[in-house]
Amino acid sequence: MSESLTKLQKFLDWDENRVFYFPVRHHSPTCAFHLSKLIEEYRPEAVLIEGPADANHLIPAIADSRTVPPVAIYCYYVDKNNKFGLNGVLTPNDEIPMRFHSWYPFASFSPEYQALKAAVTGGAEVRFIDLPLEDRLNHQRKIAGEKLLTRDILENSQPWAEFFLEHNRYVSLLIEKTFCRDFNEWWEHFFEIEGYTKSWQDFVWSLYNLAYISRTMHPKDYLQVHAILEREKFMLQQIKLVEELFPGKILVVTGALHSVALPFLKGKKKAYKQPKTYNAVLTPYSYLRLSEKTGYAAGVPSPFFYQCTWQRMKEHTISNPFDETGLFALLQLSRNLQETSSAVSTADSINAYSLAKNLAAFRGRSQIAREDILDAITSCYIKGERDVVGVEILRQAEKFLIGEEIGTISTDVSDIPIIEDFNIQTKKNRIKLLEEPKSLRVEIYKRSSHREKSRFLHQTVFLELGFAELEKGPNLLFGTDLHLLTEQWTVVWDPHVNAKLIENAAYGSTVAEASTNRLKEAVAATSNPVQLTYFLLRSAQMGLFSLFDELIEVVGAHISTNQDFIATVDCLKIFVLLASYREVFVPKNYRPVLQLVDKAFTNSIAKIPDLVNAPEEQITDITDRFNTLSQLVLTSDLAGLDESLLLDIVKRSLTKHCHPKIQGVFMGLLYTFNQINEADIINTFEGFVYGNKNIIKSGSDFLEGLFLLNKSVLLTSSELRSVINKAINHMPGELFIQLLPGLRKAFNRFTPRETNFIADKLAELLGMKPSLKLDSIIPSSELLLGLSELDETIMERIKKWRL
Amino acid sequence: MPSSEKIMRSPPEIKNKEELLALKQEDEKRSKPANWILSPKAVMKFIVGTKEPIKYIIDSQKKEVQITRKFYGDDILIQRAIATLASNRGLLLIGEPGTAKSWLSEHLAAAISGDSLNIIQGTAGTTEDQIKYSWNYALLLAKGPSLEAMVPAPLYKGMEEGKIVRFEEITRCPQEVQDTIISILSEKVLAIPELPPPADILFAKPGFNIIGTANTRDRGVNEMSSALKRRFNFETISPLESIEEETRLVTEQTEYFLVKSGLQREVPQDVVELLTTTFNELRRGVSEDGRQIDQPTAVMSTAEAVDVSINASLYSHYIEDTPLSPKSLVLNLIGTIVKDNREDLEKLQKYFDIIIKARKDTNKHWNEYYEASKYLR
Repeated sequence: MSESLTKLQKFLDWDENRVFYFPVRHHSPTCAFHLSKLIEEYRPEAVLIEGPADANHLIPAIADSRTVPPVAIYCYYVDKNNKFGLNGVLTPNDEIPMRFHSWYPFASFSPEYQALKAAVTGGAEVRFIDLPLEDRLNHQRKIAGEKLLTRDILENSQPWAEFFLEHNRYVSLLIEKTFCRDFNEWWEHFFEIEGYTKSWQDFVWSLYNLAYISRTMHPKDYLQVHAILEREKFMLQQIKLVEELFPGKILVVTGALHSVALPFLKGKKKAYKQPKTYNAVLTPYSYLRLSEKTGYAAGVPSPFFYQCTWQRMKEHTISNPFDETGLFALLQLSRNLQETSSAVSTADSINAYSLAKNLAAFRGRSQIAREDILDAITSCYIKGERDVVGVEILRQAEKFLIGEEIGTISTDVSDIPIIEDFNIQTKKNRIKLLEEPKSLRVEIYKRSSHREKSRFLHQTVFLELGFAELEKGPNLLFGTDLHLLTEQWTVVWDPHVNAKLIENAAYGSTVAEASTNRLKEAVAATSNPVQLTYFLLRSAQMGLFSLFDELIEVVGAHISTNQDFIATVDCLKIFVLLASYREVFVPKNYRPVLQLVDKAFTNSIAKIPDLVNAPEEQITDITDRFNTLSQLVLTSDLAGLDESLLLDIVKRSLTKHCHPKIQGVFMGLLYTFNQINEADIINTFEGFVYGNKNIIKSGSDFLEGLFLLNKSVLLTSSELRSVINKAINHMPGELFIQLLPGLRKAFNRFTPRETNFIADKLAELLGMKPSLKLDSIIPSSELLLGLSELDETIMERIKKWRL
Repeated sequence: MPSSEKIMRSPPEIKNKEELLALKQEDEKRSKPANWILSPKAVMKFIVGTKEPIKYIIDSQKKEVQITRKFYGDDILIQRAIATLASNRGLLLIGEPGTAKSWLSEHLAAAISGDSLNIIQGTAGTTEDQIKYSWNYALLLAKGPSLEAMVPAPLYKGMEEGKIVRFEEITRCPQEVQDTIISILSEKVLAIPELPPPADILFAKPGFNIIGTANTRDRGVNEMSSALKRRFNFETISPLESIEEETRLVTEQTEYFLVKSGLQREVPQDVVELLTTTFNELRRGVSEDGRQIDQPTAVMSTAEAVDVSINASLYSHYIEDTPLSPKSLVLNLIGTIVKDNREDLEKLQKYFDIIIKARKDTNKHWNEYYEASKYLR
């Protein structure tokens, strides 16, 4: 054992030391359990916690009984004067200042939260002793010298980031030797589960060992660059100060990495002067953000699982809180799955619990860990292929274990950053906050400031603030009103908007950040390429360009592997829209959008030969999408949409074995591009209607497909009209009745004027005079008024009866 | 049982006799489920291998043996499978043909019961008596229904001896035959009404369990009843995603076959990589650089890749008198990929024309591989 480690052993004795350094892993229920026991047993006079020293004013609010975790201290610093030289480097442009921030989240099972609550309840002095954000940044800038701070350094310097504990060779070897999947499983096994039954002294000693060796794995200059040493120097100054002020025992609660260094540091007290204006606020937080899903550096994989375990630990009488939580999770999940029609029985739950216990024993654990639960779910709840029936079950399991809790806070909300940002954005975009509805006209094509306004308004809609509503404007989601050049919005402010903003505070400190995180959350919940493409579009509408760049890659990967023609064309349509309206939606990263168009187009036409074998129930959707694909090729001038490639594949795929409607659309397209003539169409049609009884009906399907792609063929070809007329004339009555619904559908595509034209031509063909000209029908105003009233009444009834 | 030299393919308990012995000796202090030869930890080691050799004693001599990796893929899946076999539920390994389901099943059975041959080979013609028990009719007529006249089938043996029963291709059996095992799996009791008490009831000894295998993508398979599904824990075995792992596996298997056949030819790993890359890309329908590829309808499993590699090695050895060559790979690919669907040949040609052509300047193997595509017809 090294000398320092031997010395550390001395610090384990509560009675022998005035200052006791309790090491924690943030968000660890077992750490919280031992720490609570220790505070209850020894009642220290002062408890010092690794929290920002400029947030000491928030301690009463955190301890307030009306504050319900998860909540977080949010520290921010806006570099308006570009002191750090990162504006325009890590922000989209020079005018957007770099916003530095750090989060100190508290869940009910966070040791720091439990220490704070217990200390306040016991009347002890509580203080945060970590270096404030701005001071940390100043120090890091000094260390960096000429170089700019990088995003990596900033991320890994986040105060509660456990990068140093998790990523080192010592820990990697431990993980490998113990056959664990990752650090989380290893930690849960050896510290959460096995640590729970240890005495607090043994637990602290194990953690000292882990932290001490992990710390030696990182060179000193690395610790310096990431401001670890500077923060510890500051912590020591605060500890020394409290030592002078309070004669009793002092408990210092910090991340384990600091707990093994602080006892050996030498330094003097130095009082921290609280700033005039606070850059630290308390905000609600969510379990989703506390999980690793949103990139939080000290995230735990399943916060809700830990919350449930913590609740059981608190009862003290339960010796196996992890097993009990595991059983609860398996039962609750099976109930949830039963509601969504997955057949999971009680017998399956019993079996899953027994398998989880077996696995835990096999892996050498005394209780069930999160991974054992997930493995039991995989084996016992998935009755079929994991990639087919298992995807949804595992998604639900993960969602359940993460939890949906959002915290509440007791303090006034006016200084909550997201509300502040909302006020700044409305001011910047010249939107008045009135409680009366106000109309706004936003010229998205003409003025860049209006585009910014539109993006902000779209963000407020996405966050469901109830602040803005788009009345009119080009709707890219549905592909409607694309000709409109302006957006017409109605905005109205009321106190509920603030309430909604607070709900979203857990997602970020600005409206844009919250929108980004919520969109990320939505993206994580789906693997459907069309939905992902919609999200890509939403990110462009909201101007969230860094997320847009990330999503381009995600969508690109899904398009490469997607085998569904319908979904691929739906995605292609949106890519083409994005590419066509690039000024508004894709001002920066245009090339990847073109690559997406190219990829989706190539993939969709590669699927055309397979359409021949498409199942009957998909035919209508397929012909619709084929029509969309053809229209995109016809109307768009994008280079990726190669018309000759499409025609070539369609020509090769057109066989007699195709579904008649598909034959119709294929021939409609080929006729449009002069690849076939009307004789080819007539031959195919006659093949159907003069064939045997079974295929006669196919004639109407063929026409439906044909007219979907090309109506003009009937308007221009007298021969085709004559052939259709002749075929119908010769048809036995019964057959005609069978064919009629199909024919109606086929002819539905024609406008009244076109129908009138066709009727005229038919009358001419049959030697009859048209009895009534459509043009000549001029209805009276009374009739129109009556019809309009009737229409309204019908609409009302439809609404009332929810038809 | 004949010695391993006299049979074409040795069962794993024979082939890995030394490994099993070493693991058993190492395992003495560990607790095991009743009637298991090895503890779950040792079973795991047997399947996934160890880094260091294990010492053991045979005929009073100290020796050591390297536990080789038998299964490449998801190690966590193996842990779940072993835990399932120690529980009340059966284990059903599902997945595309050729993903080493039967391979895993026989190795699990060999490690747990020391016997991988207690096996029901499911077909459309499998009957209940081939699963449970049948009769020696001569003895039956002579002595009446008695244990002596009864011919135990694998399920009976497994229950009687507390062993693993392997039920291969379970979904190829008609549903009513599959359902024979429903009540046995839950109650662990087999009724034999023909025999007088107490022989009319057979209670399963601890250690009895069933490992089923079933294909998810094949013709001629039957649905499983939900009642039977409930009695199994499912594990899906996916094709290997890593080209590197698949290359290693195919090379090892080819070398093993060549040695068994008395041919001392090396198997060049970089040539095998051409094959595994092709299999991997055609299976996923996407090339390594993200381009879409038409997937053939044929099964493109690792087992098929091993077959192609072995056939191509034999071709190279006997016809070209060289180690495995890119040309022989192409010649042998056709038979595997183009079976009953001629369109698959077009897809393969297209793959070579677009994807392989782009790589032909990378190195001489890719170039030879592309040049040999003229034989694809």
